[in-house]
Amino acid sequence: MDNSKVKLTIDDREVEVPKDSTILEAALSVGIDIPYFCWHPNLESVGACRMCLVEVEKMPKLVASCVNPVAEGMVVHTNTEKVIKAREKVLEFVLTNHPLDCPTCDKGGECDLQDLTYDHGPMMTRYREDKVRWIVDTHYRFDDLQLGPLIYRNQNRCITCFRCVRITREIFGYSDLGVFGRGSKTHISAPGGEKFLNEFSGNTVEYCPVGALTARNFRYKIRPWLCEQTPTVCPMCGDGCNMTAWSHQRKGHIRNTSRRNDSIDEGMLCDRGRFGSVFSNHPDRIKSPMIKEGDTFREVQWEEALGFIAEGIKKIKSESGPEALGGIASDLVSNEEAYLFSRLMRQGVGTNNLDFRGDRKSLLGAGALKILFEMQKMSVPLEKVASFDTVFVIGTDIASTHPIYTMWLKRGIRKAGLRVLAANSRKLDFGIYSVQNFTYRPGGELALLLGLLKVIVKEKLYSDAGPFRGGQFSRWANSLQKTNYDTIAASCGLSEERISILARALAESENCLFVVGQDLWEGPLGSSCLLAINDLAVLTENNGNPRGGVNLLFDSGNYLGALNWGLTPDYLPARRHREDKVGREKIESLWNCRLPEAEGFDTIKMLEQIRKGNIKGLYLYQSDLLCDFPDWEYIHDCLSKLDLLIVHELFLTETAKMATVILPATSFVETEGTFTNTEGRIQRFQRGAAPSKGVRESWQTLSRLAQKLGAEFVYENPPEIFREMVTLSSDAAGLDYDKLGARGRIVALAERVFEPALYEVEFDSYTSGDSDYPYPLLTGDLVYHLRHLTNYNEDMMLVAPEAHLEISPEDAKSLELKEDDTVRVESARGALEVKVAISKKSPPGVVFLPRNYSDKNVNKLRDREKTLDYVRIAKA
Amino acid sequence: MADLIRILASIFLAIPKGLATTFKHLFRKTITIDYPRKPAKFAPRYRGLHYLTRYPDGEERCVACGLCAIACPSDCIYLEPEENERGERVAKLYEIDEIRCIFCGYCEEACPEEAIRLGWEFEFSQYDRKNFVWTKEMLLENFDKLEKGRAKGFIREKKFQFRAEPETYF
Amino acid sequence: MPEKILFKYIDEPGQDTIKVYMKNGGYTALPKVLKEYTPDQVTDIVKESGLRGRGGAGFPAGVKWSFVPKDSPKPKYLLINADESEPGTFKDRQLLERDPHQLIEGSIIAAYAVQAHTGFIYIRGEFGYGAKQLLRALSEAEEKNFLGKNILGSGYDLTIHLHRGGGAYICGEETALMESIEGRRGLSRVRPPYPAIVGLYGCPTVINNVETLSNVPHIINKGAEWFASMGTRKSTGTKIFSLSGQVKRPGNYELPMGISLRELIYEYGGGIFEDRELKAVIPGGSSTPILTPDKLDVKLDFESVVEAGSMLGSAGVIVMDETTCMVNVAWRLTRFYQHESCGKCTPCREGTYWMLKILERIENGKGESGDVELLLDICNYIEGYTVCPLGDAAVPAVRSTIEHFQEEYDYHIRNKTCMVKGKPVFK
Repeated sequence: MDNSKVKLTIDDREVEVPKDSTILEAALSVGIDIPYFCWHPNLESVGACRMCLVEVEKMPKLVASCVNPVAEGMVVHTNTEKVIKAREKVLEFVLTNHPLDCPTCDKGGECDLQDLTYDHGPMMTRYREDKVRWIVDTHYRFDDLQLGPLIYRNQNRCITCFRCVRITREIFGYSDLGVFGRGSKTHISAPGGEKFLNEFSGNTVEYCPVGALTARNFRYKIRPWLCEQTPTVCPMCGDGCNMTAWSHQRKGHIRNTSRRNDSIDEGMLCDRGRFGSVFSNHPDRIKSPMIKEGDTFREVQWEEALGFIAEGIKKIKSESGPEALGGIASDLVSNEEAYLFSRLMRQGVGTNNLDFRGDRKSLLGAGALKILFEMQKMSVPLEKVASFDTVFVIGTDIASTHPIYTMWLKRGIRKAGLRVLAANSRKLDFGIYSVQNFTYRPGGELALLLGLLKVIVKEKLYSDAGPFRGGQFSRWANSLQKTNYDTIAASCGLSEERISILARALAESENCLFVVGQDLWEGPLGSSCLLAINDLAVLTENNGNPRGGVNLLFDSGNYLGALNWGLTPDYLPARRHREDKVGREKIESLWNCRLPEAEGFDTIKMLEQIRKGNIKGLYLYQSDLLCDFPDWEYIHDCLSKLDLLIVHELFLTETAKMATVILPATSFVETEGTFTNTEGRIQRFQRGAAPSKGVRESWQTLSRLAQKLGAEFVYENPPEIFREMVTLSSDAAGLDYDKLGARGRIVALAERVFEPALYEVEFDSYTSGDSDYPYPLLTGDLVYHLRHLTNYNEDMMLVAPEAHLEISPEDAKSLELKEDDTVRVESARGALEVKVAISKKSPPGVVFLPRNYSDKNVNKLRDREKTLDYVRIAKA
Repeated sequence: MADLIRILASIFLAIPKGLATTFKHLFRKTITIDYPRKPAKFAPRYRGLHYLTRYPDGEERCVACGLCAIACPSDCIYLEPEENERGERVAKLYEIDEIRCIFCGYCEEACPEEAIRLGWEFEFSQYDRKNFVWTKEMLLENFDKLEKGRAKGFIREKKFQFRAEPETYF
Repeated sequence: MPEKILFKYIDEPGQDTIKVYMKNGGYTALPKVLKEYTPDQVTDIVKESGLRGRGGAGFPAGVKWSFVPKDSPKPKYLLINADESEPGTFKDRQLLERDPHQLIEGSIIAAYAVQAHTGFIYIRGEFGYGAKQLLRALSEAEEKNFLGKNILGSGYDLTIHLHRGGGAYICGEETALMESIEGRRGLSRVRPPYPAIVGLYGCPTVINNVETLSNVPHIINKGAEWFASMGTRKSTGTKIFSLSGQVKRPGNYELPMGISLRELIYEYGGGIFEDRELKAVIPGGSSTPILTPDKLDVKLDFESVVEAGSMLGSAGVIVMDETTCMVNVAWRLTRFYQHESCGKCTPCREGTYWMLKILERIENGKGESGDVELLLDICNYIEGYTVCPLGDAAVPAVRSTIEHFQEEYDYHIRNKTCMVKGKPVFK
C-alpha cells in the first residue's frame, strides 16, 4: 500500500489526504459538504449523477469530484457561482422526470433528493412537458412493482444512480438486480422476471437516495419523522451489527436501519437483522404473568406470580435440596441479563445447574471450554478479515450463519485477492465471488483435519527452524501416524490428493485465517476438532501472533456473552472457574453470599436428571427448549415430568404452553444493555420502545424474584449491573458503560497471553450408514431465520414461508423429484411431510432440513442418542 | 347657586340625549341574530369543524401523507396510512381531537391533496371528552352532509377549487 | 481522380478473398514488419506518417500506441472499433465488407507494434454481412498463418476475436465498447485512467478505428514520407468522405485530406439534388455542428474545419438543401441521441429527453416564446457536464441550428407552421 500523502487546497483550506483518494473524499474528510447521489464510500465511483461537480483551477470544465483523484497542489473550489449554478441545473434535470409524489412516497422525510433540492435546487422548474411514467399496471394509479417479497420498486422515482445494483453486485456478489433499457427508459429490475431476493436486499432500500426502492415492512406504515430512533445492536447472529431501531409511540418497534460501524458492518445489514428482528410488536407476545390452572392459564398480577414461583422454589429446595432445581437461559439475552440470571440461580436458588445451550446433542465440558478460551486468544477483529490472503472456513455455511462476516470475505476477494477455502458438509455459495469447496461427508470433519495435519507433517510444510523439533514434537508427530489415509478418506470422503491440495494451500499461504463454525466445535467431535484446529494454526504458524489467526464463530447474538458471564455450570461470571479460589472469593464478597459447592449439570445432564426425577423445577429464561432440543419426544417427556416449570418468555411458545408459570420477558428493543459479538466486542444497545403495559423489563423481574428468594439484588438499571459485573474481570474493569461509544470494545477476558502448544488428537468419526435410512440429515438455520424466533416475523415468513428439504440435483434425479414436490421424510423417530428444494449446496447423498419452522419441527425426526440422524425419503 | 343649576341642567339634558341614541337605533337594521332559533351566518372563510373531501367519483382524497399532522401546532391530528386493494396509499386512521384543535387552518394549508378542510360547523358540543375525537368516517360524513347541503343550495360555495382529475397528481 | 489508398481495389471482384488480396499486393507489409522492424520502429513509422485516428477525434495513432506501457506485466489488448453507428457515416462498412484483409493486416501490424497477443474486432450488431465477411477473412488469414501461434515463424502470437455488438450507438465510444466486450452494459467509464493504461479487463489497451488500421499496411509498404506527402501538413493521407443527403451522387469518396467542401459536393457529388440551393452541411457526422453555404470553401482537414466552427469527425458529410426544415433536422437528430443516451448520467439522460420534448412541441406548432432560450440553456448544461462525449454530441445539432437559423424557430413558434414547407411536417 502506498501511504504517501498529497496536499491540496479545497475552498482555501489546506487538506492532506492519502494519494489515491478522490476530491470528494478529501473534502468530506475535512467536513466540506459536497452533495452527491451515486457515490457511496463502499462502492467504486461511477460519476453518474453529476451532482458532485466542483471547479478545479486549470481545468477547463467542472469535474466530478467523486471520480477525480486528488493531485499535489490542486486548488478546488466547491462553492463558486459556476458550481452552484451547475448543481441547480443538475437538480433541475433530475427533477424533470421525478414525480412529485412525496405525499405518498415512503421515503418522504428521509429522501436525499428532497434534502438536496431544498439546499441546492431551483425554486421553480421550467419543465412543462409530460413526465415519463413507468406504468406497471394500467388499472393502478400507483406504479409500484414488487421486485421480490420484501422490496417494492417505483421506477418513476428512480434517478438511476445505480447504487442498488452496485451494492448488490459489488459488495454482496449477487446479480439478481440489474439495469435494463437505456436513456429515459433505463430501469431497475430483477433479471428475467425473477424475484429480487437475497439476504442483503434491504440495503438497496436504505441506500436508495430516493423512494424508488421501498421496503415492504415500512410500506405506508408511518412517517419517519414521527419515529424515535435508538441506537441498538442486532441480536440475530454473532456478528453484532449496529442498527438504529425506529419505533413509534403507538405502533412500537417498526423497522431497523443501519448504524455505520466501520469495525463490524460498514453500514450494511442483512435481511435477517434488518427485517427479521422486528418481532417486538407481534400479537403473540405474552402481556402479563400467567399461572396454569388445569388446562388453561390465568392471568395474574406480577407479585402473585413471583410469590408463587418463590414458594415453589423454596418448597422444592426444602424437600430435595437446591440441586433439584435448574435454569436454562437463551443465548439471545444481554450480558447483564446473563449475569443476573447466573447470580439468581447461583445465589438465589443456590444451584450450579445452569446452562444456555439448548439445541445440541453434545456440549463442551469445562475442559473443552478452557481450550476454547485459550484458542480465542488467536482471534482477529472482523475488520482485518479482508486483509488476509487465505481464509479457511470450516464447519459452517458461513453465508447463512454470518452474512456480514461473509461480506468482509467478499470484500477481501474483490479488493485484495483473498482466497477462500471452505470445508463443510454442505457447499458454500458466495454468488459471483469464488470459493473453493472441499465438501466432506457429515461426521468426517475430524478426519479431514487430521488428514491435513498428516500431510503437513509428511511433506514438511512447517518451518523447520521454529519450535517444531525435538522429542516432544516428534512424539506429537508420531501420534498422527495412528490413523492412515484410508481411514481418513473413508470417513471424510475426500481423497488424499484433495486433502493434500488443501493442506498445501493452507501451509503455503502467507497469512491464513481459520474460521471455525459453531457446528464444528459444538458438534459431536467438538473438543477434538478444537484441538486439531489449534494444532493446524500452531503448526502453520498462523496463530495470530504476528500473522494468521483463528476465529471461532458464535452463531447467535450473545452466545459469547452468555459464556463469559456465567451461564455454564462450571464457569462463574467473567470466566472464573468454579474451583478457582481467587475468583470464587471475589464473587462471594461481591455478592455477599456463599456460592454452591456442588458440581452443576449442563442442559443434557439436567434433562437426564429430570428424567430420573432428581430435578423437579426448571427455570427456562427465553429458551424454547421444546422446539430447539434435538429430540422432540425426549424433551417433551422430560418437561412434562417437572413439578415446577417457569417459562420467562417473549412469546407463547410450545414450551410456554407446558409451563406452570409464565412470565413475560422483554426483547432487545425494550430494554437496554450490552451484547458480546463473535469477536468478543462488547456493544451497548439502548431502549427503543416501551414494553407493553404491564410488562416489566426482564432485569427487573429477575431482581425482584431474587429478592423474594432472599438475595439482596438492588439494581436501579442495567448500567448498574454492568458496572458491577465488569469489576469481576481485570480485563473488563476499565470499561465505562457510558463510554462504550459507537464502536464498542473488544474484551478478551483473558488473563494470560497465548502460548502456542500442540495437542495430541484421537481419531474419531461418526459416519455410519443404515440401509433403512440412507440419507444423513443435516439441520441448521436458514439465512432468513433464527431458530423459531423469526416465526414471529411477517417479513421472514413471507420470504421463507415453509420448510423445504434441500437435496442435491443428483439425488433429485435418482428419486425422480422435482422442485416443490411434497415428500415424506422419515426417520426412526417420526415423519414429516415437506416440500423439496433442489439445491446445489447439498452434496449428493446428504439432505438438509431447516430447523426454523414450528409446524414442521425437524427435531421430531431427531434422536439425541445418535450423533447423526438418518432419514429416508419417499414421494408423498 | 349657578353651579347647582348647571349641574341639574346637565343631568336633565343627558337623559334625552342618551335616549335619542337609543331611539335612533330602533330604526336601524339589527346586527344580532336570534340564535339558536334562526341559523347563524358565517363569513365564507370561517374555520369550523373539519371534513375530509372526496373525489367526484366518491373516492376519498386523503393519501395519509402526514403533512397535516406535522403542520398542526396543537398536535391534534393522528393518522395511519394503509394500502388499499389497488395498491394505493389511503388513510387507515384519521383522528382529529377537536377539543385540542385551535382551528388555525394550517392543516388545510399543508394538505397537498386538498383533502382536509375546515368547514362551517361549530355546533359539536359533547358530554364526554372522548367523543371529541373525530374519526375518518365521521370526517367524511361531514363532507357528505356538506355536499347534500350544497346540492340543495343551502350552503354557499367556499372559494376554492378542486383539481379536476385524479391523475394529475404528478 | 487523386490516388486512392484504401479504395484502390475496392471494386475488384473477389478482393474480399485472401487470394485476390494477396495478388493485389496484400500481406506484403506483414512479413516485412515481422522480419525487419522491432515494435518500436513500427510505432515510429506510424508516428512519422502522421496518421491520425479516423474515428472522429483525430488523435495521432502512433502517439496512442506509444502510450502503452512497455513494462506492464499485464497482457495488452488491441481493439478494433468497427461499431460505426454515427448517422451519416458509412465508410467502415464498405471496408469491412469489400476488403476485410486490409483491416486484418493492419490490425496484426498494430498488435505487433504494441505487443498485444489478443485482439478484438467489435463490429456493429447490424453489420451482419460484414461480420460474416470478417469471420471468413479471419479464418483465411489463420490458415495462411498470418494469425495464430508463431506468425510466419517470427515467434509472435496473435488471436483476433470478432465480437458483435448489441446495437447501441454508445458502444462506439471506446470505454463503453470495452464494457460491452467484458459482458456488461455499454456504459462509458470515467476517464482518467485512459484505456492505454487501464483498458479492457483492466489491462493496457489500444483501440483504433477500422479506417485507421486499414491505412497501416500501406504506410509500411510505401513509407511514412509517401503517406505524409498526401493531404495537408497536419492531416496527412487520404480520408474516406461519406457523402449523403440531397446531392446527386451520394457515396463514399476517398480523397486526400484538405480537399474543399465545394469540390466534394459539386465535383464529386455532382451538385445538389434537382439543382436546388444549398442550405447547410454537416461536415463530420451527426454530432458535429452544421456549416452554412458561406463556409463552402473550407478545407476538409481536422484543423480547418475546426476553424470554420465545426469538426471533421468521421467525415460523414450530410448535405441539406433549401427544402429542409432546420427545426426538423434538430428534432430528428435529438431523437436519435435521446434514443441512444445510455441513461447513466443525469444531464444527458434527462437533457436530451427534455430537448426532444421541446422540439417536438415546436414542430407540432405548440412552441412558446422562450423555448429557444430554454433549449440553449439546456445545451449549455449538457455540454461539458456529462461523463462521455454522447452528451456533447447531442448538443451541436440543436445549438448550431439555432445559431444559424433562429428565424426558422421563431417562425415555427410564432406562426405554428414550418417556414420552409408552410405546414407542420410532423404529427
